[in-house]
Amino acid sequence: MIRLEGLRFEVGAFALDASLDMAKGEYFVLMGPPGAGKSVLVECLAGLRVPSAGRIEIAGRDVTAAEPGDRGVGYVPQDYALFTTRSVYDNIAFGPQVRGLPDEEIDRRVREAVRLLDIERLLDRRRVQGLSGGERQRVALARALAVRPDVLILDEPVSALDESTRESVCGELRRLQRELGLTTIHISHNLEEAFSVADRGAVMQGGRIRQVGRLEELLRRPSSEFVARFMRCENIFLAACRGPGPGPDTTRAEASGAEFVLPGERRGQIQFAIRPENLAVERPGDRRERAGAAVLPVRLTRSVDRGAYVRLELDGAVHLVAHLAPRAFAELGAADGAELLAVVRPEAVHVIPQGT
Amino acid sequence: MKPAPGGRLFRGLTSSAAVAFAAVIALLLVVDLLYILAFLARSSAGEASGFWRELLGGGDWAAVLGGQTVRELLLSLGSATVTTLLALVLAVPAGYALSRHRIPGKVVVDTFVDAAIVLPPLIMGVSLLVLFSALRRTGEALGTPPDALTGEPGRPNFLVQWLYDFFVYQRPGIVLAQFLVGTALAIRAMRAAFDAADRRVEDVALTLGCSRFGAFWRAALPQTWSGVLAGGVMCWSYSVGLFAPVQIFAGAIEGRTRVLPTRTFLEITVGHLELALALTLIMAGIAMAVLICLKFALRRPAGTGGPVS
Amino acid sequence: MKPGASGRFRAVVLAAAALLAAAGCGRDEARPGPGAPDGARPSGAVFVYCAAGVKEPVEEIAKRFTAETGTRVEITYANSGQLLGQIETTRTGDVYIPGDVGFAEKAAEKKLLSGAPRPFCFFVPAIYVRKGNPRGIREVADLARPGLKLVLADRSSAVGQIQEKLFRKNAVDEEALKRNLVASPATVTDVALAVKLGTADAGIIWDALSGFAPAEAETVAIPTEKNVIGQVTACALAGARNPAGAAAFLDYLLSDKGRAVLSSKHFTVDAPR
Repeated sequence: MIRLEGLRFEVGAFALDASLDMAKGEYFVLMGPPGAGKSVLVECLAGLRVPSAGRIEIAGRDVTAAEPGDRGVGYVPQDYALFTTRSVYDNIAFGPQVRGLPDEEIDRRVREAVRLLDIERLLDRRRVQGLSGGERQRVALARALAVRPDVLILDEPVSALDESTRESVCGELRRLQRELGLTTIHISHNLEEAFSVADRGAVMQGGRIRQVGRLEELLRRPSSEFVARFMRCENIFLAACRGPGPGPDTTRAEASGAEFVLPGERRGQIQFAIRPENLAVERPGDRRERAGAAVLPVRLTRSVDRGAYVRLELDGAVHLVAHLAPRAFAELGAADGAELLAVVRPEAVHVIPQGT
Repeated sequence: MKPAPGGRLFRGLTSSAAVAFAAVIALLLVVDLLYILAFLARSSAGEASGFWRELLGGGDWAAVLGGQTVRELLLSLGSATVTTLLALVLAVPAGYALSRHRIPGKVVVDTFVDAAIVLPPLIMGVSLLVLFSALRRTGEALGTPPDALTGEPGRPNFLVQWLYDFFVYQRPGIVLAQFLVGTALAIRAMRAAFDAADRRVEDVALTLGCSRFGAFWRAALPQTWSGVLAGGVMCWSYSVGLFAPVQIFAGAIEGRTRVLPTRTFLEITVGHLELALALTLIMAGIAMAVLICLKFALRRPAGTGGPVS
Repeated sequence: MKPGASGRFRAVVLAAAALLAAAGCGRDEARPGPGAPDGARPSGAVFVYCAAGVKEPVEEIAKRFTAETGTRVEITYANSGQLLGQIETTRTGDVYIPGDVGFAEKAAEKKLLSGAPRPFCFFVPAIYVRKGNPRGIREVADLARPGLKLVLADRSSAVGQIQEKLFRKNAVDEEALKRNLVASPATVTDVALAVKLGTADAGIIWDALSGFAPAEAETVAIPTEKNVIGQVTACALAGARNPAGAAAFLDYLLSDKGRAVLSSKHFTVDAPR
């Protein structure tokens, strides 16, 4: 559906260099820290910036040199950029009007868009000034949908909204995309937001795409330390392999005096990541099956209840972060300063491929 | 909401800056008015009626409306209006370009725009005169020389001569003299307006199917409405009160190029101070009334952005 | 961007420029001779540069001239120096009436005149003081008295040029004058104004201005033998497009009809003795 081939764009010291494929009807989330080039990439896609090299294909058509209006792209920028001097109706009708559609068709498009977004009640608003953040966002979406685009681009669509509306808006975006079968690109730097809307995504850094894939894949099998860290995996270590491990097809590895067991047969220097939620924490007295796992004595230095989980900071030979379900933490009954054991099973360890 | 004591002090200080300045200007006008009244109080009936006749142009309405003052006033207001419209036609795209585009040598361009404001107005008029005299000489060089045999005199190039005759000591010269600085002021205002406006509305308009020009016209420009208004008001106010370059480039010819500020100046040079002040008050009053009407008529119902008080 | 359209525009501009160049090709820079009649302005109006100081009588005389002859007179007013600058740069216009003969001489040096300057009226310097002469000023030398607030027109004005000669003739200490000086405005009326408003005790003006502010100020005459009389001349211009009209207007200006108007406006028509 969308294909970006060797897309390049330079501005000052920044250089975008990206290739990307998206399937029809896919909800794709583009992630990365500020300045990674997410907005630049979608602006190239929408035709608002002219790439210095590369090729852009949308719906099987080469649109590299096409005008922004001829690409079948609906664009909702950050902060929505509503036409402040026009009424809500005229904002939504803008696209169909510019395209010279007959009046009854324009009206039909507007009604259809406001029905989809459930904002019929806003139609009699003369100005967009007094609208709330959520309402502005819906008007901006309706305005983009009124031209019936093949691709919808949402640049940080919920960043300006407060926490409580964010979740419901994300759900609605997802519903809308399913209903219309729209290929959607959604820019976000928020993981929860990304997981609540998208199937697939990419992580960008410094103008390049570091990894593309299903979101679980980005989360569980990051291809680089950067992606691992971006996916909030805090336990990343550099270790030296010390020979076969206790279980079949495992390797012992040592990092700063702590011994881990990694899956597979490996040698030499190796980098690996352990997601905080995959780390087990037990009391030393517990009699549990620990065969084949690495067991590290640690001390609890800090615990923070985050609602859905409790974040534990553990100090031992290495510094570890673990996320426990609140109930599991209650069962553990540990206070700050408690001596505990961190249990790392080989299957919890993700070895980061070398050379990335 | 009730402001905190510190807030009240801050508000008081900032507001008093604005009010104090306006009060000084108002005071100047009031003092002028008192001066005129004092003159009328001590002058004889004949002097007073002479004053009124000079000021208004006659005793009855027909004489007033056909009189010198009304004609000069209309010329001032009319030329300023033409100037402002022309200035905006140039200033809107120029301000946009200076705000949005990367132009090679932009700093230089920007500095020359400012130079128009920095130059003493009189020098602006002299420069125009020098320019047109150079033009005239060029026209003579390009034209037909005098015939030595028949004694037929030479003729300057028709187009250059036409251009010269169109501006120098003529009404279009008034507009040209006002235009140079008025446009610079309008460009400044438009640039500030485009700097403050949301650039993304144009991006959205483009994706919705607008051409580059359409996005400018239908999305960017409406958002800078306040800038167009501010630039227009600045240019118009400046033009209405301008006389130095007008007087030197367009002349001070009665019934043709004598605008009200020039008349005021001439009345002072012949010692009619009261008359000059009275003419100025009339002009200031009408100009202020026009500006107030304009601001109310053209103001958008809701402010564009900014916190609501 | 439509490169086609801008290309076409450029072609049109180039073509226009080429036409212009072709029209003037092969000509040397010979100028039309002085006084060459020109068909470009069919009105036959007379264009006059007039010093603001003689605005009132000239305006009145022009009105009468137009009423009698049907020839329109277009007059632009400014100070004599600015007018000279305008004449020099534009080389248009038919008549020049500067506030002092010195400007006419300068114009003649620059070959801007056609024929000699003709005497129009006289400007007689006088001392202008506050009503009742509270500082007791009797003669030019009194202006150098310590503590007096003095206002003198700038050198660029006609009165400014003459008063220098006046001070030299009366052997006044110029340093003492400078110490007394509170302002040096650009025109003689601003001098009168300063005395009228009381910002200065005394200044030098023309006697034609003696009625400027009868309630606040009065003039102290300077005896003719101690005075330097200024002369206003009217000149025909070399670049005149309407030389015939210029001559007719000049004749009218200097006729008895013109002199009558001058007298009625308190201007000195005959050289003082």
